[in-house]
Amino acid sequence: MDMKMFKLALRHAWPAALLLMLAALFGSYVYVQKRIPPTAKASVSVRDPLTINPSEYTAAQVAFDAIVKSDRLAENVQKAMGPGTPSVAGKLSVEVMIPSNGINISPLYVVRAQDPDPKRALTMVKTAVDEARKLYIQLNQVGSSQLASVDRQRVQASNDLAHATVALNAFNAAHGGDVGTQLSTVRAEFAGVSDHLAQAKADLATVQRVSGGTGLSAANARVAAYLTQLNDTRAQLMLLAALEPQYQNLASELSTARTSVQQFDTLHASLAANAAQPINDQIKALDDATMDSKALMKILVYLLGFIVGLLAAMGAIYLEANRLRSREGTEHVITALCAPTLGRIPRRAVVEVK
Amino acid sequence: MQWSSESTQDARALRAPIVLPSPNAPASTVDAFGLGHRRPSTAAADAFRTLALTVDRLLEESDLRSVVVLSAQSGDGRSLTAELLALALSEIRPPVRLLDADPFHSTVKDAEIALDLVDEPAGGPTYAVLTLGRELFRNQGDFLSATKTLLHRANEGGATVVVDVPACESSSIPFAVARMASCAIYVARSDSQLSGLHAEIRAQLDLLGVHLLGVVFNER
Repeated sequence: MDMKMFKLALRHAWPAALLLMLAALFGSYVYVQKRIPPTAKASVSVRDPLTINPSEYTAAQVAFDAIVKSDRLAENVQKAMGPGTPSVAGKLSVEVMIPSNGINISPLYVVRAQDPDPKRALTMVKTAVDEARKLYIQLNQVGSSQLASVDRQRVQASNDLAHATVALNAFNAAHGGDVGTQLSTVRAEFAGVSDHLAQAKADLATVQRVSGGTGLSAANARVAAYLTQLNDTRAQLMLLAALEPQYQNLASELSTARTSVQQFDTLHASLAANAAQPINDQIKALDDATMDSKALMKILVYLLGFIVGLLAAMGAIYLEANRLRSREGTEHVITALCAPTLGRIPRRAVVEVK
Repeated sequence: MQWSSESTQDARALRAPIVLPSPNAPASTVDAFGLGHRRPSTAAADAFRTLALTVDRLLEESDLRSVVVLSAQSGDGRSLTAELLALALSEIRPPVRLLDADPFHSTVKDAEIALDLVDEPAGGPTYAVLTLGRELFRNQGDFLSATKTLLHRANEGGATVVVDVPACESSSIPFAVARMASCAIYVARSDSQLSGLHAEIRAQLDLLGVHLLGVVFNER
């Protein structure tokens, strides 16, 4: 389309183009009113327990963002805002912002509330933060019953440890000391005697081959003595080896009971520390409730509406240009044929007959 | 000579009887012309009534009441124009015969060759569709001869004949038939950019002595 044709089409189609532009902008306005309602926001920092109490760390059982998204919080907020308040469900949202430094992992929660009434949106977000804090404390605070339960399990584990110790000590006393230690000693002794016997046998063979009888009786006597000692050690080792499974069992029970006691000790200390530390110290309101302008989003929507309107207007101008061009086309045909126009077949020349 | 070119040597075709597949068949109606269950819209009917008045007045000066509907390319609306013009003419000066003389792309589905209707216009219908099927003729020469015979017989019976022919770009038949008829109407699309082709066709029609009444623009 050349500029001349564009200007001509614009002169003809400017009302339609303007109407399309206005319609698109009106559509944007309706979208902004319906889809981008006034939003209030407040930010809350929930400090990580590791940062508060590094030696006794336990993570929160229910995270703050999950609480903000819960229906229970919506109900609590609606109740707190008083009768006549419309449903809060679906109007609250939360954005979790993780710090970028990677050292302090306490996240920041930005709580938002949407409502057509800006004042009510502000009240809603304030109430939501207060109610969410209460719910967080209620759900994550360590109770005395929890500590008592851990204590009970800890005492049971200590009893188990005492029983296992007594049983193992009695077993060892009945068999002349710690069976495990005895086993190790006798095994080492058996290995030493075996080595000595092998050496004595080698000496005997050398004497027989080299000296031809001198010192033979002494070598024989040394071999016989080691053989006797080896048989005694073997008998002792077999006796202790028969006791080994029972000893291992008792030692294992003792080890398990000791580990269990250690774990309950750690858990008890951690819970006690958390109970002593007020949990609401973990939650810090960072920014008070303010209105979220969303100006950029609105500008983008209006810009999009403007572009759509512009495209539609250009389309209308293009169609008008085509229409004008077709009119121009008839003039070309008449000139080429040197004949008058007799008539026109309208666009809707035939109709369906049922 | 076969269908690819015109024949003038086979003069026997003029004397030869035309084979009628079904001589007693009833005259075809507008449905048979390809419109099916469609009728002209009010706007189209009015436009073609005006056109029919113009054509009728222009044909008054002519002995042979026949008009050929021409166009440069297929799809220009030639057949629709021929049919709507024939219908409109039948209202003001019956009888009218619409002759489909396009052997390549006949729009007639069920029409019969009903030459007896042309012979007896007084007893026949005010409007009828006639066709010249390609398969009935050995070559283009025979086809043109039959067309000429039909035109003459129809005129002798006092009927006005509107003839639909192939596109000028694709066949020589439209020029030959236009020469036989008393005048021609040219159909062109309103957004046509084929000025050169139109001018060439006009020059050819002038050389053949065809009386071009004017142009009907198709705005569909």
